[in-house]
Amino acid sequence: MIFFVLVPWLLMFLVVFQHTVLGAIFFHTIAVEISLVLVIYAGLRMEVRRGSFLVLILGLMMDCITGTGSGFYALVYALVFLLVYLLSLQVYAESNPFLIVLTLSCGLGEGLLLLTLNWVIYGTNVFLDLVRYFLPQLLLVSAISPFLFRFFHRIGWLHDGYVRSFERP
Amino acid sequence: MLIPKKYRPAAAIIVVILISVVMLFISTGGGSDTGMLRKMILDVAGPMERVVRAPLDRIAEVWSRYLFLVGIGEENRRLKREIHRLKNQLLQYQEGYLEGVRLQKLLTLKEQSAYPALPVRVIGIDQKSLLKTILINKGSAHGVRNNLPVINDQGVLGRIVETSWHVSRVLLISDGNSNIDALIQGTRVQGILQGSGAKRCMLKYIAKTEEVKAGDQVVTSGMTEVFPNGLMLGTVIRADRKDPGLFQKIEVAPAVDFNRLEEALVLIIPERKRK
Repeated sequence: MIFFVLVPWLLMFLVVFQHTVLGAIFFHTIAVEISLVLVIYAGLRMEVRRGSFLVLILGLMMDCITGTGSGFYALVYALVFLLVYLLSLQVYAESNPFLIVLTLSCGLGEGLLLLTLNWVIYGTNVFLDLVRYFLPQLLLVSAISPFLFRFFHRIGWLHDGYVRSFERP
Repeated sequence: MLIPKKYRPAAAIIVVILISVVMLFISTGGGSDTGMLRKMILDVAGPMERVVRAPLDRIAEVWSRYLFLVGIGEENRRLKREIHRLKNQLLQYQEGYLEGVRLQKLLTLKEQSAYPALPVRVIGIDQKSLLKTILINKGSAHGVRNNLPVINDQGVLGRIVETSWHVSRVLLISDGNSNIDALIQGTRVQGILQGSGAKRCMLKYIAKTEEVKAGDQVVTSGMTEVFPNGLMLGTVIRADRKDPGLFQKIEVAPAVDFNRLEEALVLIIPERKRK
């Protein structure tokens, strides 16, 4: 229960942290999206209901903080979560190169989805941003994703001692 | 539960996706009003962001001050170089301005002169040797000949005594070899102004009966046709009748400051007029 009470606050702190602190560190030129790594981590390791809840809240927080319409990030994160979850049923992802490649792929997918949604809903074609903004930040986030995975894994209450990938359904 | 245990994970994800899609539809299709949930999140996130940002801003300020201090040495050196450069530039502009003023005076003089005048630049001053002369940057190629008068806005400098193609030498009126017919402007008493070698001239051959006093202005008389009449030569600074002999001893201060010669005019007096 504590998970469902604490998670919104901590996620809000995470989103604010990555928006302000990391933004300031990188002079607001690159958005270091730790939240994406958390979504991937949730898809790979967390119990599905907890993961779903976390992803939904995280998406909504991102929507609020970044100023996009409610549901943008929530939907994209949910889809990423779904894909990673389906993948986790087939493989046990532990090696660093795999995590890096997975983060990179998911990030690319996320960027494409966000830009597509933006194009479909608002009609603004900003696909060039994928190369200009998304790719550099993706490379950075992918590079640090193994460390973030270990960090998330150390937070016991996130998965409450339960690591889904060890138990195939 | 209605959903079998096997499908519960998938159902949870589908529910999340559905919620997201619904929210997306609501947010994009609805009015511009911010939803209640967003308001709540923003209201909580705002102060959090402020709290997180405050120390960051402080750090950024300290850092920028540090960078400022680090850069201030280089900035100081750069500014000093800039000041030096600007001072030089200002000096050049001032020089240009002063030159312009002088040239303007010369131009006025040239326009007022009855003879064609050739502007020249003083390129050498030699007042410490036997002859008190200056060099000017125009010579015979420009129409300069011997004995042409050289003047500036203050008065007569002297006359040409030597010319090459592009340079000429001017004998100053302060030189002992310089003799110019002159007259006292007020009384029209005539005499010969001779250089005395020490920035002084002597006005000679003025009888003791003539009234001459300090402050009287001495101008060229035009008698010998080297100098046109009416050109300023100097001012009487002392007239002494006590000297033995027929004539007064009259000291004249040249009108021209020979230490500040830069530009001058050579009056091109036609040959025919000079016999």
